[in-house]
Amino acid sequence: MVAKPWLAPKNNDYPIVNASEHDIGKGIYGQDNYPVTPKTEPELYDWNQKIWKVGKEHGLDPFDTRFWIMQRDTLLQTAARSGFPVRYRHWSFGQAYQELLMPQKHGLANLYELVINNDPCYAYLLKENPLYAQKVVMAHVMGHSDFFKNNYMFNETNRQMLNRTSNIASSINGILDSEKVTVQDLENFIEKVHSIQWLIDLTAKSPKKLNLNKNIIKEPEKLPDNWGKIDTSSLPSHMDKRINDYTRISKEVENEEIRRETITKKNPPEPERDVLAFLIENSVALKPWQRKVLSLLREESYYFAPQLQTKIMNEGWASFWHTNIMKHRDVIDLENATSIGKMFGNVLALQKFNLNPYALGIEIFKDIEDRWNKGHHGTEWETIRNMEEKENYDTKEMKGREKVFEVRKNYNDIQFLRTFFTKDIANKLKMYTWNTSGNDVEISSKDFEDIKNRLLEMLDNGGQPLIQVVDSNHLNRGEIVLKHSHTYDLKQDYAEMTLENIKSLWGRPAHLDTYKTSSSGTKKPMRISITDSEGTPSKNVIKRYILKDNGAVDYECDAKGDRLYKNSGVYPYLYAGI
Amino acid sequence: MQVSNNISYKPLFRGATNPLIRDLLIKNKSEANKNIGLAFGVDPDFDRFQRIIKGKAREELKRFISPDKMNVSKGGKVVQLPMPRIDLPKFTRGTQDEGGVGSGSGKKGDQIGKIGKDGEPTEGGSKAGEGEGEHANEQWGPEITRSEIARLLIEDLTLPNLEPKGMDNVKKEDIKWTSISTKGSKINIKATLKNAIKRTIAEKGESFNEDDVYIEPSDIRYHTWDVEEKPKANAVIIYAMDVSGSMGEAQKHIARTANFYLSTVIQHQYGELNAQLQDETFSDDRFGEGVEEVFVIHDDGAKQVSEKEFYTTTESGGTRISSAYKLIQKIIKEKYDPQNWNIYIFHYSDGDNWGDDTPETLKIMDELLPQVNEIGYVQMQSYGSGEFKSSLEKKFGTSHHKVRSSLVYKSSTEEYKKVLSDMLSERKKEGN
Repeated sequence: MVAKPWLAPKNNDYPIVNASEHDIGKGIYGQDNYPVTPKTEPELYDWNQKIWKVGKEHGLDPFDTRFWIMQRDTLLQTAARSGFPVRYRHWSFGQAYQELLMPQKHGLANLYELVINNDPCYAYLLKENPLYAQKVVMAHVMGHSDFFKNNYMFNETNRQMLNRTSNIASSINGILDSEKVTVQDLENFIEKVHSIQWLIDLTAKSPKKLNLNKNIIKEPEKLPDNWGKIDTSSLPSHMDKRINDYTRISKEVENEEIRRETITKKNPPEPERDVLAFLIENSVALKPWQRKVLSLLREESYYFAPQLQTKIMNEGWASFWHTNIMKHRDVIDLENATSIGKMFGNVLALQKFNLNPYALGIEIFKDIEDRWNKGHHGTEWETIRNMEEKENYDTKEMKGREKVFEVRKNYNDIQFLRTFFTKDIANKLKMYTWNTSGNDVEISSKDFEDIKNRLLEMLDNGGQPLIQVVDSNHLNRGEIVLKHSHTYDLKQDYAEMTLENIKSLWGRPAHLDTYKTSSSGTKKPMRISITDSEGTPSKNVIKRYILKDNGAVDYECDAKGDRLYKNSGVYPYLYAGI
Repeated sequence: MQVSNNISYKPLFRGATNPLIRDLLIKNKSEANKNIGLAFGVDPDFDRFQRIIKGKAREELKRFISPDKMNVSKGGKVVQLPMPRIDLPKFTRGTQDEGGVGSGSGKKGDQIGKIGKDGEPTEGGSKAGEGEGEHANEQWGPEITRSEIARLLIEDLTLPNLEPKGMDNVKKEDIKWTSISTKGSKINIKATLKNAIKRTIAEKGESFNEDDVYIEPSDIRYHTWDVEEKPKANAVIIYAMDVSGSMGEAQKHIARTANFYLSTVIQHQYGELNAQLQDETFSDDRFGEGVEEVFVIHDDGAKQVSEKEFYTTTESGGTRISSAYKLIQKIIKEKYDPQNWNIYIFHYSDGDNWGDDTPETLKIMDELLPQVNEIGYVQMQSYGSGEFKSSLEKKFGTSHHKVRSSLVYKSSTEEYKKVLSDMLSERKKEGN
């Protein structure tokens, strides 16, 4: 055993609070990392204290945050696992590692910060980074830690996720020992789940509790005896017979009973966003170990979902604070000003084809602070017509700081942009929307409304297409139907392959109702169906049905390009539900 | 194939960190040992991933492998790296709806790139590097302006406001759009309408109808300007640096950094001063208003250089400080009349002057003194003897209000603050 100063007996510099901290120490596979303590890194520890003091004076309220020093390799391996030292085994983490590694090898990118939402927060520093960079990273991390603790989207996330991911990992890896499952089977199953990992309810802050007894058929509630009758006690008695007419009431009761029965037996009763939960609760094809893996991965999806929906705010907030803290007289570093400036510049550099969440986020926060300092909001300011007067308007109310803290607490990305993204910011960041035209990429608009709409569309539902389960007993044959709420077309071949995965998890044919936009721009409903081919049940057949203008169904071809039926109204009932 | 596919996922020696064993395993690359070797250093998921990419496992995933290139942006520039990856399907936006939001220069309809083989947009190579340097302020990035640094430093070190002289002689001409004329290009709508209504009243009487009002060419009035004279303070800062052989890279770095902060504070103060003189509020874009900069480098001879050269030149040779002051004297005489200009001179050296040169230098400095606001001398501590500072202090004293000196040992925040303090803090005039 290599001596670890932070684990030495009678050393209270770094009391271990989480069993999984030993995993951070070990690194992914055997490298030695160590925490920042007064003994291991006295200078860094000192700066950490100073930065924290300055941040708290400004009003930041972060989790207790623990910094660890890591070698580049371990840091990248940990980053590939979203900051957790132990995850279940899957090659996709290796792919993520490669994606992080290659640009670093070519000196094109530098990973500055890695922090996980946990109480206490854990953040990793790259060992070879110079001191000034570590200082900026620590200030940046403080912003993230404060955001995790205070933003409403994170309220219900698991704050003991460091331990939890490690438990999830041993549960999943343990399946190989306890069940007769091969590595390929497990990998293959995890890939299927990965392909639908965001089909959860992104509007919920935490996963709803699973109800595994849902398969039992429920009977609709009986109607009360006086259902449909109108209270006539205050009216003359002869009116009762005329109002509560027996034939009318019996007909209404019958209709209501049918309605209630269909609703009760319809599964799901309402369109269900949490497709993963629906599969866990209702699929008869899942083996116990598969149900277990699916539940565990769903739990992880819900943990990461708030980060998906607060990327711009979270990075903006952290950048806002690293600039503010680094400017403070106790922290300012005059000798490395140029290098720090370059570092800020790299973080905030504008990108041609992508949005830099750091740059957009910090601009919006700075703008909010400025506007609320001068009173540039509310009806009084908005009704000023004279542009010069409007610009010079200043109530000196200095509410900016208060306001940015309120915003960081109560908004997510889409609300943040809808409320605070302004034309000035779009101009300042030289933003545009781009589209493809043939093989060329062209600027399609520089208009503020276009940019804003495109941004909101891209961020809607955490950037994921909204796909819900609408029926699980289609044609009374136990086939599952999903519906894509259309704002844009899906990538068709991907959608088909993903639907094949859903079919495999569900065990019966699967259908997806979506739309297809033709080259002329008209949008037509399309159903993609994955069914078993006759005779060889293991092989899937993909069919696409497009509703034509005259109401007939145009049948496209299957995956191999065979045209099985000529276009005709073969399955006219298919569109009943659309 | 079967054996390697069914390797256990539990590393055999998990946690063993003995470097000896690790080296042994890595050196001995037999097939059997490869798997054991995974337990150390190498990420096992990465290894698994590579086996799949190379077709040694999970053949059914082959159809998802794409010989991808990855776009990596570096400070706005996009570079492509080859990177095979396994692209698992998911529900995602279709290619017809391809598009996004980006940032950069260009107008609607401009072609900014091409769609690569991977379906991702790339710069297309033709205009490589164009996107670089989109952020404006090279010294501090876009986030901290030099005015902000200056304010921090002034507050922190309680530096006084600079006292300019001779500003009464210099006026800044400023245009104000305050007058109205019958000729011009910018229509004054208010005045024009007023005329039209006046004319209508004259024609139709007081109770005219709104529809009767129309504008005749004779009604049209234009904006025109008046020239206003505003007081303005001008300053020239002359920076001189010793680039002789004895000045090492470290010393030059210190000189350049200290110089950056000195000029930051002075430029900010002149910006504020001019705003004040013109009764306007200061904003960061007034930074450096009225300030000109002159850069001089010298070894045993001196020359005027550009700012870029000043910050990058490496020379060598002996040191003759007088050469720099002779040149400065000449520059002031030719271009900067002390009646109209506030003159600041800052000089950086390791103080290792040629022995017989120092008296002459001091003589020129004495001549310069009545013309300038300040001569600041910053000496970098080096291996050399560095006697110029003590000679200077012997002649002018250590608390002369115009001739100031400072000594720097190393590059650190505290040292730079000390230089600023020495150069710019409040000092009483002596004698006169």
